[in-house]
Amino acid sequence: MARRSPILPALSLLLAGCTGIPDTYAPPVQRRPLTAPEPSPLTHFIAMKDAAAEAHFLSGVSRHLEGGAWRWLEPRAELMFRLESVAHLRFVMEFAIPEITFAQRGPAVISISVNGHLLERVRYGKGGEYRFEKAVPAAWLRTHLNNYVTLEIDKPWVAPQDGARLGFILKSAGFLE
Amino acid sequence: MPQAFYILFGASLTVAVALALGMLLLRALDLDLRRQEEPLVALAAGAACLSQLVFLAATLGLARKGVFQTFGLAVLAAALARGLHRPQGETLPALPRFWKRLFLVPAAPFALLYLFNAMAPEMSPDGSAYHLGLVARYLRHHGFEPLTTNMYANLSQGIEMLYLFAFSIGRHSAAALVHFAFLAALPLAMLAYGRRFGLGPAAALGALFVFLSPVVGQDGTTAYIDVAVAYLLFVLFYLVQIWDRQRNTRLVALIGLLAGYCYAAKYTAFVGLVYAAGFVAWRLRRERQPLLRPLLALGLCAAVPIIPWIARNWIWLANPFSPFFNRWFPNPYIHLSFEQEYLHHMRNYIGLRSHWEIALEVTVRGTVLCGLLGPLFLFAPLGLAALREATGRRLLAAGLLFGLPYAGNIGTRFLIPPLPFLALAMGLPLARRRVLAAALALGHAAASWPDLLGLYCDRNAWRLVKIPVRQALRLEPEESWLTRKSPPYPIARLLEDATPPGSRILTFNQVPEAYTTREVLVVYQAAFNAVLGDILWSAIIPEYPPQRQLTFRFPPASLTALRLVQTNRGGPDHWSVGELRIFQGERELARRPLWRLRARPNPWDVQLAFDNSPATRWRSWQILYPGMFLEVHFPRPQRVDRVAVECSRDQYRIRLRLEGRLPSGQWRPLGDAPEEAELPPPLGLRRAAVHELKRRGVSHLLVWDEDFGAEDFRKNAVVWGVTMLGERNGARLYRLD
Repeated sequence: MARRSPILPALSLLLAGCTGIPDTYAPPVQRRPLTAPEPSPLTHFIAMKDAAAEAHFLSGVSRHLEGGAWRWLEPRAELMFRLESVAHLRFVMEFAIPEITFAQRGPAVISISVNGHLLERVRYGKGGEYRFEKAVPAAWLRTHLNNYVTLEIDKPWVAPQDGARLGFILKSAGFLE
Repeated sequence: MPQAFYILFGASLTVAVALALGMLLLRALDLDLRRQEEPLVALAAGAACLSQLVFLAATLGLARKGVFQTFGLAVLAAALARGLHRPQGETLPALPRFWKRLFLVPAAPFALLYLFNAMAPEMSPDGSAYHLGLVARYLRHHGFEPLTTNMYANLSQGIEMLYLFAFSIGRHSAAALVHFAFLAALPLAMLAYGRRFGLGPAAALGALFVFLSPVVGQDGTTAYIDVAVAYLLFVLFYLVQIWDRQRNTRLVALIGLLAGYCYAAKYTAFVGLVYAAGFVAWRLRRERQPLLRPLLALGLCAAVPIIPWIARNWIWLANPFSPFFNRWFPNPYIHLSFEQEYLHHMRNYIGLRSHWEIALEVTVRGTVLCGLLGPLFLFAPLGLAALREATGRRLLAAGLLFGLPYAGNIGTRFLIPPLPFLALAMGLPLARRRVLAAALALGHAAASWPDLLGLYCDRNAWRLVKIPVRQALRLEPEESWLTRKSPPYPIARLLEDATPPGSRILTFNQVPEAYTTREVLVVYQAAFNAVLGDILWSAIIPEYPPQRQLTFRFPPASLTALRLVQTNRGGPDHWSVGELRIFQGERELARRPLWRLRARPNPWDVQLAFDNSPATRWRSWQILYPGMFLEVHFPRPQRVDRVAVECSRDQYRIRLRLEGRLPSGQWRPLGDAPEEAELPPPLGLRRAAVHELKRRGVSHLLVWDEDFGAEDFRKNAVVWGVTMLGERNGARLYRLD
């Protein structure tokens, strides 16, 4: 290991020792209240792999996490979220429609509703990974109460192995700015 | 026209006072200088004295136009009363007519070109941004004030002190004209040197080569400082050579003063002191003469201009050599990572594909390295022929030493200080071939004239383009010319027009601060500003928010302190912590005022990991090394069983270990394999970021269209909580609501 000359450190100690800059500090003013045990495990956004994800499923979401990251939805699924504020939010959803489902059911239309208001109805003609995002009017949302999102596909896909009626694959969903 | 008068008066008074002070000093020292040498040496020595006095005035809060004018006129009166305007001493040997004409004929039109450009409204990038931006600030505040948010203010500013004197009377162009005075004096000093040492023809050629060089002309007609530094270094060399002949002890004092002033003028010119001390020591040692006293005298005199700048930085910035050497002098004002990136950037300019391109860039192209010396200097290897002569070897040795800082900054203008030596060395062999010499000199003149220069250099090369007579004389108003020719100028005026006095504006690029009175914080120019940029970007860079949670669980223990240690090494990751939360069971411990927080490195920002804001984070601002830590000390033992670290995802390489201190004082490990979980993207980050900026006194944001995140500000102004106040030349000004 190369040896450093002691002159510069000595000089720096000498000089730095004369400055009055403290190097320990008290905690500053807290910007928000401390995080306490959450009265509700619900948040504004979840990835399917999150530990708290299942708390957000009201109906129609598989309890099995596939590939460590995604879950099958039934033709109609309902999720719920909690929001601290409602201004300037978009509903964001990352999902996929397997190509194999198109052979059986053809193009699919997915409807997304927020608290009973239809946010969008989108037609998908081929398989692949998609990201949906759209601004949600603040008037549709509420703070400190559950917000319900319904995801509905017009034609279910019937799995040939077990005859399960499935919708599409969800990776993450929720509200972001 | 009155404005032109004030410009000329401001510059003339500054130069005249410097000359007068220099003459007073030279006559007091009773040196044996030639008639033509005396004013040239007096300009350098007087500049050193005047710079010191202006520094003193600025320190005492006396930097005012009236003070400078009164003082200046008093000095002139004293000098006149002592008859210092009357030349004395022997005359230098005359320059042969051929060489005199060869110098004067091309130099005269260039002198006019330079004079009018220097007098025209100042719009050089660095000149209008910080050389004069700082000068204007000092004048507004009547002196220095602690300024920790602009790294350029940390540099030594010995030449800027002269600009402050001139600026107080004639504003921006007066300062540029002071620089022009050094530009005009440089070839004269080279000629005088040549005439004294019997190298007249070589000196005529060398002086012409330097004076006509496009980058020298461009730099020397703005409020940059490189030509002035080159002048100081050349006069220093000149005096050292005279000392070598005369061995006058008083000359050593003057050499020391000038060598110190070289450092005060620009850090990189510290090589002047190395040269002077080295040369004196070498000659005395060779002759077995006592070394100590001459070197002590030289060192003490050099300390006079150096110490004020070192002391200022030491007191205000905790680093006498700020913005460099931050590893040796850690401080809250400049991040070590910035210093390293800055030095890397200076050695590798953007756009330069290979260092092999440097030769062509600095001689012919002129864009990437900002300026060109002229194609003549492709023949620079001719100077090696000078190695055959002792004088040539001395010139080349000095040039080599003065050129060493070029390794640290490869911009063309960093070649200006060694250029006179190289040019003189080139002149030595050429002086014996009149026809070739004349052809090269005239060819250099033609190739350097703006109209012809434009035919071969890059379109965007930094260079003079015309003789702006109307603008210099202010027949066209300054405002009109600057608005037409300087894209950043209207942006500075927007700041002035659309924001109230006292506004603090955060931006990502340099602004011509010399044309606004508002405080501008450029993100890369200081640690404080960099933290502000980090806060802003945390809202728009997906990897920046605290979405990664690392939880240490351990059996409940009574602890007096906790320490989170980072154990990995390597870049490019920095370590950062958004929040460090400490739990007892399900309850997070409230952060008490008596807790004490420590961090290494960057202890000064440790509170950012304990402020509960998702927009802020403590950051090491250094690449990873084992032993970085965050520490919390409790006033009394605290029962703890869980610690959660919320951090960003831009630090894949960190490895953490948690340690706790028992009441006995012993530290014990609590875990090194935290559970990892992903947190959802925090909501309200943009608002939180703006809130944090406002807490730090920022009132406005200036964002260029090409800046990172510019579109987000435009589209989501409401979400950010900002209002656009105006747009000029692709820069948008937002008010933080």
